[in-house]
Amino acid sequence: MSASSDPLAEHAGQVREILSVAGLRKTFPGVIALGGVDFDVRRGEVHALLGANGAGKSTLIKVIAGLYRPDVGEIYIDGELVDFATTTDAMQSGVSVIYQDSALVPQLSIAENIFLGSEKRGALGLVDWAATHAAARQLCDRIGALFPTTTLVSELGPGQRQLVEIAKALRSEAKLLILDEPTASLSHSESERLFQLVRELAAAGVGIVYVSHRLDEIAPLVDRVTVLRDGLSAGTFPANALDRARIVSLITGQERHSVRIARSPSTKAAGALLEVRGLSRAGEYEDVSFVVRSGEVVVLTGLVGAGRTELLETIFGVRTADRGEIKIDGKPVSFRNAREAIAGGVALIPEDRRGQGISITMSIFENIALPILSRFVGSFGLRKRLQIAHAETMIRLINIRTPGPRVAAGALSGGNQQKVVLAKWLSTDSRVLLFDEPTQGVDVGAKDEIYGLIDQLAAEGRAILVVSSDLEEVLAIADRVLAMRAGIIVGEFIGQAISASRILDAITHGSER
Amino acid sequence: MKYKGTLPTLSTRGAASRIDPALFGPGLALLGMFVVYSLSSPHFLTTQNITNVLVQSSPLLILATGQTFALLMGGLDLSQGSIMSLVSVVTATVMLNYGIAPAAIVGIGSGILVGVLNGVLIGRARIQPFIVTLGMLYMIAGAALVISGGSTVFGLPRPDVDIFFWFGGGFIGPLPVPVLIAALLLGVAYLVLTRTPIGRHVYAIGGNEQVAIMSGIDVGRTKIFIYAVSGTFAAISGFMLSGRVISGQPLLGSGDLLLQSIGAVIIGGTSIFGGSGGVLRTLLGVLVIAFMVNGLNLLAISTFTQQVIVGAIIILSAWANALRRSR
Repeated sequence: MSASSDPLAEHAGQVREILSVAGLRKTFPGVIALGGVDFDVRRGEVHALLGANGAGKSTLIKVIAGLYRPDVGEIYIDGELVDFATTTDAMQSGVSVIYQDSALVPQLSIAENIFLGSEKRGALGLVDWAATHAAARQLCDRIGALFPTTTLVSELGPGQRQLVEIAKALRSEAKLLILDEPTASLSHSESERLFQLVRELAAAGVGIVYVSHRLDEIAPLVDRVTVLRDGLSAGTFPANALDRARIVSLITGQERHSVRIARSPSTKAAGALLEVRGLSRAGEYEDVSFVVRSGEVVVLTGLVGAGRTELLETIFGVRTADRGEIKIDGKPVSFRNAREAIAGGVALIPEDRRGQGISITMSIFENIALPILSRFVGSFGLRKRLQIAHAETMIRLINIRTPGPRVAAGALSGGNQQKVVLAKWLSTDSRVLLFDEPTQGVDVGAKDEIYGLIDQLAAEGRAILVVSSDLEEVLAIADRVLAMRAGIIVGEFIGQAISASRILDAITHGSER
Repeated sequence: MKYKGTLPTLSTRGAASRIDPALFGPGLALLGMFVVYSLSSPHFLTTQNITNVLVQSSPLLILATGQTFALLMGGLDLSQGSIMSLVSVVTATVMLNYGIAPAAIVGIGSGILVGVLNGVLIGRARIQPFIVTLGMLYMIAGAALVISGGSTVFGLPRPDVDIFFWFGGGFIGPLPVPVLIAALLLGVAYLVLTRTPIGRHVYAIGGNEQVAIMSGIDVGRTKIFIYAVSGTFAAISGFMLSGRVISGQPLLGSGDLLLQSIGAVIIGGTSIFGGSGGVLRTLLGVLVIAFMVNGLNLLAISTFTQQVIVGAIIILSAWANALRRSR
């Protein structure tokens, strides 16, 4: 893929599809992530891959990138059947993926990052720095990255880092470039620069897969669109044959417009348990105000990076707001850490289950007892039997599937791990429950059980605030929906007004403010 | 829905303690050594020899028990040896003028203070345990030399010196005092780790510190507690060993006692990444080292060769634990 050669001449006599996958199936314990997907990308086209969270986009990308192996199905690159065992295999075949979170080493220079793993060597096998920087310079010039190649990546902003990633993909002579939510953290002008680069690369014959939630940015950029829904392809269309409304209905699926039955209005009249006024934190969220009443489930929805997790963590005391006020039961609070928040009746069920929710090396009963250990102290210290008995009650109560409470939490399936996290926080008797993506990576059966639990917790008079990107989930559990975009609440929907298309419109456009 | 294991049959009992499977490896090694040494040396399996080994390994057992706390939280304490030296010279220096009781309080107290200081730097200033305790290793070793002027503190007054020796080499009936002290401290450590909330917090931090923070555990306070325990145990160990040699030794802990204490915890099967292990494992680790060395001595194998063997056992036991976990 050299810039000087004529792409059309180069393509003569070759298959038109740079990538073609057929009947791709991938299952994880309890979940069918991909249920037999066909998908192809042509030389020189920009192909948008759309779908709601959990539709199978990331799994598809990871299979193509060699990170997962499919259960069934074939992948062809340039018309040749391939079977990637590792990501290195995929890269050697010309597949480059630029993930949402940067895969660069911040402590190394731009040039070193570009040539990481295939360093230019000179005499004695030592790194040839002059050649490295010269080659890196050339690549950077090609994509209009003007900073010196000796600059450390840690000094670059997100937009500049993305350019370095693209330079890295060019270095590995990518034939297929997959961009996963590339503009999620970019400014407007950085996004414009990226679009231009994507067009140039496509003109040079690279096939480009563009994954995005932002429908408005796709329209002028892409040639074709494939929509995934529930692990299946909902169809591939020329971009100009689709309008916004049609895309939204393809993503959400018509059957999901059912309106959920609202809870009895008596609970709605209850007082505000959690109240947030004018909360701001630079770079994360701005002037956020809302209330959650006793017995109410409020869902805060938006795209990744909209500032929702940060907001929850602020209420829970692990972040500090620059401005604004939080009230629990009408009294202003300012928790300085999780301990104070728990004492104040607040619990956070975090998004990063393995990182923050449970300790996988500890047993189920130890995980559940962790925030409330002092309750199990008898006259001879902690009583394991009480902890185990409590865990057994919780296991029965919320139906955790396990051979027993002594099993290591890490041995359970994703859904059951999440139930352990729930059991842990339900034990604290908190009145304000904050859920961050409660069913991410959870199989369908366990999802419904968790929804049932959330309903029941609300019915007991607790105030529940859920952060969710899963539209289906939002529709299933919300009494009220707050749409958030770039740190600002841009819409509020209640009862009958809650619909997938309105929410999607608000979080991608922010026009309802 | 798929899940691992057989269908749950929830027992309301099942609370009976199970034997820690990690104890089998070192336990078997110990048993094997007893068999081999008993058969090959008539001097091994005698009351005299066993008592001697236990008395000699008491300071190490106390040290390693304290070290276990640090390793359980995913840290380590390199300053233990220096704390022993400091306690030794402070105790002896104070005893010269004020007698045994003030000497014990000030001496052991100085060691505890170092431990607390470690804890504050690690828990509140959030500096890496390795760096804090490495720095403290040098500072406190230096302080011990400064206080004693670099030479052994001799000439302790009677009858104080007899009481001092009693802690390191005395007997209550047939039972050696240092072994009793070590057993008592081991029991206390065991209870703290298994029966108190702060003990379980140690495991929680070692397992996943982020989870611990999000669960509302005061991680900083727990770390101060951990290093205070490690320092206290090192101080008591230093006091005992000084009593045994009835003098203040500025280089008491500068030998390989510190590395042996870390080695014993690892041989016992406590993970250096934290979160799993315990002081009973450490007891076995200490016994393995102590009897291994004793048997090799009886078989007239040189101390040089012994070092090679002890090192190999440390690596082998870590390997065995890695295999056990990967199953």
